[in-house]
Amino acid sequence: MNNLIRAEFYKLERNPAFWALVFSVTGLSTLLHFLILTEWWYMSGTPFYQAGLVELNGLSPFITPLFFNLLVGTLAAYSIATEFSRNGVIRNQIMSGNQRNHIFLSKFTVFSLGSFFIVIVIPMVTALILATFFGNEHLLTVSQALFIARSYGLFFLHFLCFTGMVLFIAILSEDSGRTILFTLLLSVVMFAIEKLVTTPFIKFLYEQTFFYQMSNAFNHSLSSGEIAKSIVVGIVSLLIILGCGMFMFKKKEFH
Amino acid sequence: MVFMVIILLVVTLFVAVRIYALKKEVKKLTLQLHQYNQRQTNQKLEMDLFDRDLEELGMEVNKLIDLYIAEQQKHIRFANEQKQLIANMSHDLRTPLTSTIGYLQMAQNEHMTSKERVELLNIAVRQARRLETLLNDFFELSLIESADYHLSREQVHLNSLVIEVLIRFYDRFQEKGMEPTVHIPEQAIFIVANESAVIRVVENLLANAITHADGNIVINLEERDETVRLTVTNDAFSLTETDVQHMFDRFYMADKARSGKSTGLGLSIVKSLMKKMDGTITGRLNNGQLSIVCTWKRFYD
Amino acid sequence: MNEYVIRTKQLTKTFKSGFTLNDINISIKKGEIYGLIGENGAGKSTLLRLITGLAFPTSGEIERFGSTKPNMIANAQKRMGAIIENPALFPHLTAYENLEVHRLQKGIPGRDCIERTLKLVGLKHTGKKKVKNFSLGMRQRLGLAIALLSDPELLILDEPTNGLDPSGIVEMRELILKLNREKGLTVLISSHILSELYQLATRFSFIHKGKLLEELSKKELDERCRKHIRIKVDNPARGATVLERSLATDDFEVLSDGTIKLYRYLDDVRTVSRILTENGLIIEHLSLNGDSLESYYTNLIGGNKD
Repeated sequence: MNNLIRAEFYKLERNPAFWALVFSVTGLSTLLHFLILTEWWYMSGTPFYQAGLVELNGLSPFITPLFFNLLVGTLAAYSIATEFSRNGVIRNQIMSGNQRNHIFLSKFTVFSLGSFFIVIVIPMVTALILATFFGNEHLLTVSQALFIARSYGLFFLHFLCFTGMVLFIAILSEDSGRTILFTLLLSVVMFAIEKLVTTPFIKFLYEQTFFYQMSNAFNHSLSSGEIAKSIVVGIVSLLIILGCGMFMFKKKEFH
Repeated sequence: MVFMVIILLVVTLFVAVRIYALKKEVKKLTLQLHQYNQRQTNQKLEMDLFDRDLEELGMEVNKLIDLYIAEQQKHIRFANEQKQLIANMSHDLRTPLTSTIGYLQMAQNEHMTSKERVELLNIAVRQARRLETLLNDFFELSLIESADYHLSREQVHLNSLVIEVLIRFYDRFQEKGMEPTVHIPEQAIFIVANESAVIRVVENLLANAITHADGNIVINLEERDETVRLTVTNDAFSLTETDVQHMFDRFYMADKARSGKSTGLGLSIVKSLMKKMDGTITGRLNNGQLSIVCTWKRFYD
Repeated sequence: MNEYVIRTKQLTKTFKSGFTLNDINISIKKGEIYGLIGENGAGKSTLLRLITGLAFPTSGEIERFGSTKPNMIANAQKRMGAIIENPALFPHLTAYENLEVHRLQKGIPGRDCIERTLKLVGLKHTGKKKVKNFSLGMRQRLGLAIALLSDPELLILDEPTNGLDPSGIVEMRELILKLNREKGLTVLISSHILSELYQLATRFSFIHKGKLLEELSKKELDERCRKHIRIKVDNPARGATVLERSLATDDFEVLSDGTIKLYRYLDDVRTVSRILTENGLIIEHLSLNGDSLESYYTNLIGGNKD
């Protein structure tokens, strides 16, 4: 496993798409935070606003599935789906004499960490840096820090489910264009269910998915029971998604 | 205080994990080496690449395995060559031997005039002589190919040497009604080689051409930059690419002809001699024309 | 140690498209160069994919390095190196970086192996050039380097000469022969051109439309590809003498079991038979055998057309 993870990192470090994403997200995030901090742009109704963290409002796009799946989907497309496509480098990895489960898990680990870096770490770091320079001194109270930690902790768990899902799609579609398309489609469908569907049964079902929990993680008033439920949903979903992914990867034949 | 304890705990945990990982890796390497030593596998060591020193160790062990494989392979190759050699020898001695026995059996027949008998015995003697030649050639070849056979190098005047050999072959050309076309430049060409070996090479090439040529023979000597090339070309319409590829193999005979002085070793001897002189020899088939090209290094004062 | 590197038993693979690889039994001995010959689409790549563990058989068994257990596939894969169809490379990495990825994946200790392998395949000079700027021939070489990086015991090459120029083909052949000789490397190589493998392989398999037509050694192939009359008489010594005297030819061989292979009078078997009988020999067997390399192959495939 260790070797496979190192190999995946080696590839990621040298992946032009990864660096393109890193640079564009850094630029975008800096701009966004700057606009908000200089009160050039005003956002209300974001979870950060409700928690009294107006200065971190710029983080809100990065926790919106419709937005971050673009980033995650692109990374998946250019780091994973391309391996399965025509040039078929994945064959070499399969023939390298590693267990297929390990190959899958190492891909998942490195891909998730890469996505985590792009979607969570970069916006967070730019936000904190800019807030220190332009914002008020008394940025975080203890309860606000706890809120951030709790929210992002839960968000990360569900984010893993999401990257697992995208990995699954990338392996299945074997094509970078289709990977982006399908992940977008998935997010749009989930978004539509959240906003448009009123049938109580479907609504109930939707509330048991990590998609719902992902936005719910930033709910300011979560009871400890809801937090526990969120963790259970996250872990069970992750196990199911990884289980399905490994099963499919194990049965897959390569051309 | 609490802070210190936490740091200490973290450090201890880290060290423990590392020791465990190292021990696990050493066990894995030991198992691999065990399987290798039990001859269950030929695979070189593979390992988790997390510790530089351990990786170095693995690399050095793999070098050892490389050495071992090279030695083992040399041994196997030698044994195979010997086996092949003996198989070829017995195979190639059998045909002339069988027909010799055939003639002798016929000569034993009582209802035979003494004239007929003498004729049969003469054939049998000729066949036996051929066997003798074959054995001599074979002995010569194994001598040349042995590692401690060295040829002294000297300056050889190739023009005059080729002409001398050609003159000696005059009778045999006449016999077959051939008139070889010879292109030898007027200025003296000197090469770095061994004189008697070069004579043997030219003799064998000419003998080979005379035996197998359907039509005429062209002998061409030319200088090219650093090298000197001697080319013997003759018609060989029945030859195939495969024949040319195997031409220099021991006992290889394109037409399987067992007649005359041909033993299938002549060209092998040529090749071995050229190799010992650091020259090269190649065969090419072009529109039914077989060209054998010998290349030597030019001699400079 | 096990004498066989690969053995397949009644190996069958059915595709949804209807193509079937049917009942393949081949065995590859240690140290052999095994040539797999078949037209494009005959099932060569499918067979190689099954052997390398990229795909799974519908039925039948594959024994790799003496083991048929499915959980030993990964272990066997460590001992193989392969290029299936086109070489799979990372286009935005250099040759060195491509090999480093594979070194990490395979857990090969030390970077020495990268330099050594690059030198072996003649790509040492490529430096910082990215693979996407490589020519087809260079890609093919890098593919070979990847396959050879771990010093495998079995090298599997699927149509390796595709895209190589003639001198590249010769170089690759020389390299394979060298590795076979010096390291005892076993090679499984496929091609649709028999003459290309003829100079390389020691054993041949012919595949046509998913079926294995024939498996034979180089010697047996040579046997079939040289026209001769096979003669067996009660007294081989007399037989040889009769051929020499009455047919005036010495273009024949006597084998160890007394069989005579005659390379002349190929279109006049009747005369041969008559003369042998006239000289009081009892003919036990007399037949015309052999074909040219090309016509042998064409006949083999032609004879199996549906």
